[in-house]
Amino acid sequence: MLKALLVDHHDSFTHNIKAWLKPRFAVSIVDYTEVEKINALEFDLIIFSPGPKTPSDYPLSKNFLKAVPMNKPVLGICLGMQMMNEIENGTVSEYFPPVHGKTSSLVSTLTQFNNLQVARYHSLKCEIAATFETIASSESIPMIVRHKQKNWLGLQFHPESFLTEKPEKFLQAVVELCSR
Amino acid sequence: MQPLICFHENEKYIHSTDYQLISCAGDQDIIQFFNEIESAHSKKMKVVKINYAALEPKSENDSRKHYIKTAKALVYILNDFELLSDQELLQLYPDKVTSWPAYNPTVRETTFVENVNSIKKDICSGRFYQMNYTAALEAQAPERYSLLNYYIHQSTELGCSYRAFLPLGPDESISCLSPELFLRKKGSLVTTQPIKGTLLSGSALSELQNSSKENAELSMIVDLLRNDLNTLSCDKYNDSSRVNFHRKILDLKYTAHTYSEVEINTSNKFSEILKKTFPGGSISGCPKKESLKKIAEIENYHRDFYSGSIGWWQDDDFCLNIAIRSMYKKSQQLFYFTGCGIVFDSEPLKEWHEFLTKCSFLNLLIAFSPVVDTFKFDGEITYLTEHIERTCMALRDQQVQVEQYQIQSLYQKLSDDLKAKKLSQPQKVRVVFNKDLTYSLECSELPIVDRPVVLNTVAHRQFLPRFKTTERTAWNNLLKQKDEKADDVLVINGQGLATETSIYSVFYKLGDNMFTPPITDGCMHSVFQAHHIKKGSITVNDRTYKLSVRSLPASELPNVELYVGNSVRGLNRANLLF
Repeated sequence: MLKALLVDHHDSFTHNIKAWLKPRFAVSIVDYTEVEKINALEFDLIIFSPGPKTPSDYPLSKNFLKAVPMNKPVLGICLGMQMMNEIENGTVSEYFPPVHGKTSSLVSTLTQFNNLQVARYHSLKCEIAATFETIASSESIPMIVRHKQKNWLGLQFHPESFLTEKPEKFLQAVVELCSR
Repeated sequence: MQPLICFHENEKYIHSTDYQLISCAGDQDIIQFFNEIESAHSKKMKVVKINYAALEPKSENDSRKHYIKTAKALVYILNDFELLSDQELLQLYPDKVTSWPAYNPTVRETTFVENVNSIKKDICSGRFYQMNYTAALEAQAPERYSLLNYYIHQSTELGCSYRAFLPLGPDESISCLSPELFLRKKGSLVTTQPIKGTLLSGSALSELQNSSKENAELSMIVDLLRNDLNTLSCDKYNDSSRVNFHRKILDLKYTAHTYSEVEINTSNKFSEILKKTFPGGSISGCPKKESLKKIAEIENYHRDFYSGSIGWWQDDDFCLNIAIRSMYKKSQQLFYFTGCGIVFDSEPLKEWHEFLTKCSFLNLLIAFSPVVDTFKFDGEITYLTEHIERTCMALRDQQVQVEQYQIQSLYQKLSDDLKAKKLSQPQKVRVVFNKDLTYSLECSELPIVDRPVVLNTVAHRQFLPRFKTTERTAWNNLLKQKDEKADDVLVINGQGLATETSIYSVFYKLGDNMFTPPITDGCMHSVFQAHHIKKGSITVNDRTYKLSVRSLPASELPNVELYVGNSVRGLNRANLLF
């Protein structure tokens, strides 16, 4: 079983992420205010959870992410992906009207992701940094992004939601991230 | 002792007059309180009441009002009880409710709308996705008003499954007519059934089913409750929460909702489950922590027991409701509470209407305005069928329970009264219907429209009445914007679509066809329009055109031939002032 650390930004969906990862990962949850105490090297995967407000409201999490060794697999979901993007000098801006608790379908050149319905909860969007590539998008908004050098994967949608179709496909992508 | 009633299973209700009441003091740890009860009274049947903020730390500098103040948790240890059906309860308490106190919302429409806008602003900035916003209504109870009788008779009327009646003191009690299950535990299985999404009065069930806003509202709460159930210890069962069904219709007599079911197997017990899941997601918001903060910021009162839980507990099994649709009585003072889920797509005025819909079975002080119908009479009532249908809808819209045949016979009588007057000329007749179906009528000369009606446009983003009543404030305000050269105003809604004038429906010619805007763009139910839509055609200057329903964007107004019509004045050409 792989070991994952889940940095919790009080989203109310944290335990759904844990349940989604459960078949392949033993997940430890840490509150974002206590993330400084954690040694990232003890984990196979670090996850930055979704959460309210904006990436700049979480300097502790951003500092922790900056300090994660380059080859360490990192998964950012929603707010987590937006944090990754800001650290890499991409921009995060308001997305209007916000989309909460609704689904839209992925557009991707990768057949395993194309056309899947995914759950969205966001009022911010990423214009992605040059160091990222977009794997899938929806309504022209980047939905799955991958760092070109680092072992980072970002999901703008919520893979843990019951509204997301075939969540195991995204779990498989996370497992592959850890075996790179 | 005063009787206590609480839902149980299989449509039976716990009824007890022999119990011991234990309350949790303000500074006492509630988890410890429940653990002590559990070890001392595990086998006994217990009825519990837990306040909304029972697990929150006490807040300092709190200026919110205490309309009511009850112990944060109460446990009734039942020495003896019986399980009764509705019918048996009715036989036990046969006294009918004879008086209906009139309720006043403690929040004004303007404050309500401001608060909804403030919530929406926070939603846009990413603070939360949804928040449950609530308010209280108050009333004075008449002499000898019994909340127990109200509970017994109203509950059989409304049929809410998770209802309870709790005596709190000598002249203090709670009547809770909740339709919502918070948590049921049977063996290791914990089930929750969140409700979100409300049918607005006057709308079709399909509107609720097809609404993406109502769908999103419930979906968010389902994800939140999946999360809350996933926090429970379930290693022993290697389980994760699952959604058994999503968006079933819950048909209550005065409204309808959608609800879903989530469940999980856990080894946790009563107090641990409460600690991890309380208060319920459907009455707080998502994410929960930020929503709870915002609730404390903008609601002007302490919810106390309202939106907490009431239910039963025996051994390791229990069943708790979400204590909504609740009434509280202390001496002659009555309070009722209700609320709505606010999401980004919420329209403040529609939410206000939803708020009123949810308490529409109360006798609302502000709710009923006499219904107005105006028709042409020339020996017969023109468009009689449509007038009967509309008056029936208009009365039902204000929660008057009428059947179409009753309205039909009223119009028969009306028609006979008018015939008896032996009027020589066709007349315009204006009828005003009261709640008890009494009416008054007024005849006047038929207005002649011999030139095009001149209109100027006015923008209006908000909800206008769907039916004509004596309450015309919104229209009177709009008419203040009427140009001095105009006869009437044409309303442009928030989406930039032309809808109607203060007395006419709108029609327009485009090419060789006639069109009229759909009622869903924000038009009042019009007899003249309904008649012609049903017919599928309309006659203009002796030529009959095909008539279809199509929105009219304000941008198209310069390019269309505009007409207005109603059942008294018929169809007339209209000119727009630009």
